[in-house]
Amino acid sequence: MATDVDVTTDLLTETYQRHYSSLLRLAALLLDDVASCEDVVQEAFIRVHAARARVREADKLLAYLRQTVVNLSRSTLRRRLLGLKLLPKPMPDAASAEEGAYAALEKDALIQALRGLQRRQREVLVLRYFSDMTEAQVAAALGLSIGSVKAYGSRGIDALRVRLEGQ
Amino acid sequence: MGEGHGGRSGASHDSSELRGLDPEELAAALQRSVAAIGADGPPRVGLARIRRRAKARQRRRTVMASSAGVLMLAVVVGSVTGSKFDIVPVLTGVVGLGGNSTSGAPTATPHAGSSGQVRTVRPPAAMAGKKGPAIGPVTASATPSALASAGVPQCTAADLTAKATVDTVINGVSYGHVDAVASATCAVAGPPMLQVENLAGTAVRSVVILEHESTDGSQLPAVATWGAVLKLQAGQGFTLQFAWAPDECSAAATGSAAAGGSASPSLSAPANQSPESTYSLSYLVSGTTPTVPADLQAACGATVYVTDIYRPGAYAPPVATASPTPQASTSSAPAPTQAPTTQSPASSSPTTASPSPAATGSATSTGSGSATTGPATQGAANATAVPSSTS
Repeated sequence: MATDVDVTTDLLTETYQRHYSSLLRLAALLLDDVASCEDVVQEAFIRVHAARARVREADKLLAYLRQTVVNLSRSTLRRRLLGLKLLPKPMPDAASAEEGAYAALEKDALIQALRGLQRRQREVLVLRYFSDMTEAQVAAALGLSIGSVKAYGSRGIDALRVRLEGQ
Repeated sequence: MGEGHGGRSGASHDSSELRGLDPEELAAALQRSVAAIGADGPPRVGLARIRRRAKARQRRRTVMASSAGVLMLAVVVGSVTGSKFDIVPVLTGVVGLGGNSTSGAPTATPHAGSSGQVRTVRPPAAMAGKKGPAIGPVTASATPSALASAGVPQCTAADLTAKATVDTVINGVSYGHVDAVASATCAVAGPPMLQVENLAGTAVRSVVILEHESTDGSQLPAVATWGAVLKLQAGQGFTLQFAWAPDECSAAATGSAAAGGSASPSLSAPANQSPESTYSLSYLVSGTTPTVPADLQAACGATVYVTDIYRPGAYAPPVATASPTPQASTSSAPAPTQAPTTQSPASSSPTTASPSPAATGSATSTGSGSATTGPATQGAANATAVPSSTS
């Protein structure tokens, strides 16, 4: 008979295999330095691994991971402003494999416009429209009220549209 | 709730096609923008790496939590008992302060049966099997709890008359003892604290003092205790034994070896002694006051093995008729073929260099030029540096 730990471990494995790529893309949309994306996602999985005894449902595990990716991305940006890096070194194999995709990302007009938004607006738009989360889920993930999520989302789309028109 | 707004995979966006952006278009556009990222799926070794790092982090947190707990305990014990209990060695042993096994420095571990006054310093793995545990630095500020329980004051230099004597030389190793007699009722605690000096002031680098163990190859008796507390009446005394094993000279130290007349113990001291090769070994009463020393010789450093203190007569000294080989050939103690009586200085320069994994430890020495065990000098840990070339 499988123990709780076994079940949780299998859940983690399944979540990793199913959602690693989408979490990597989420990080790529939030960070302006794509080299740190793998680090952020890996760090999120390390933290969820430590908290696996408390998170035993697939939906909650994914929500936890997304929230952690958002928080770590925010921290990474903040630290980069101070000239620091979040993690000691990037994963060399993963970074090299994704090199071409990241290079294309740098040229994408939408991505460039998105990076010009306010941080909150960008987070709300990415979670709401890329991760397909409800306003309530976004509010919970970002620690905002639903009204604030609506406001950030609406203003974010307007700002994005303006930026795209300006390009 | 996946990222379900599929679209043209991997297409970059022109700003003109997104100017009429609505939420549906935005969702699809975002998906397309990053579709190429992670397209190969998660790295195969990624999850194993994540698990490994998570476990390593968990271990670190456990250690940190344990350390914090010990620190809290130390604060509580210190506040309750005042200075009667020396918590520092316990702390350093449990938390691992004062030692870094990866850098070649000795690692501190509390010694079993110790009174809490002395902790041993285990040599790094590179020295395993070559030398026994060195008697490391201790603190003299606190009164050992074991002595406090004896009910009599700790013996001071005024209470004890002690003298170090070399008794015999077996296979190049000098064996001696320290006899001490009390003139008043007092208590003394082991392990003994020895000090080794030479005129050149290089003893701290060239001499290491180790606790005698049955496997170290010396012929010292197996004293059952390590950290015994003896209550002495006036006229009573105690004894300890030591072995002085001169180190082999490395090739780089050939000149010094020739000058010092090989690894020569004192009883057969060569004619041309140098300030570096002439050592004096003395017992430190209460860890601070040296007693009458014994003179010893070593051209390229030496290893001292010492027993705990014991009642006089409890253990017999080594006798010259026995002939086991002190230490292995890779150790710092000389093999029988290095005995000065059988070898000339010119032929006593072995080609194998003495190991020196902890040589850098002497950088923080007190500069006293003496190798000391016991509470007298914190820098005595640096005396555990394996003998280095002093030429």
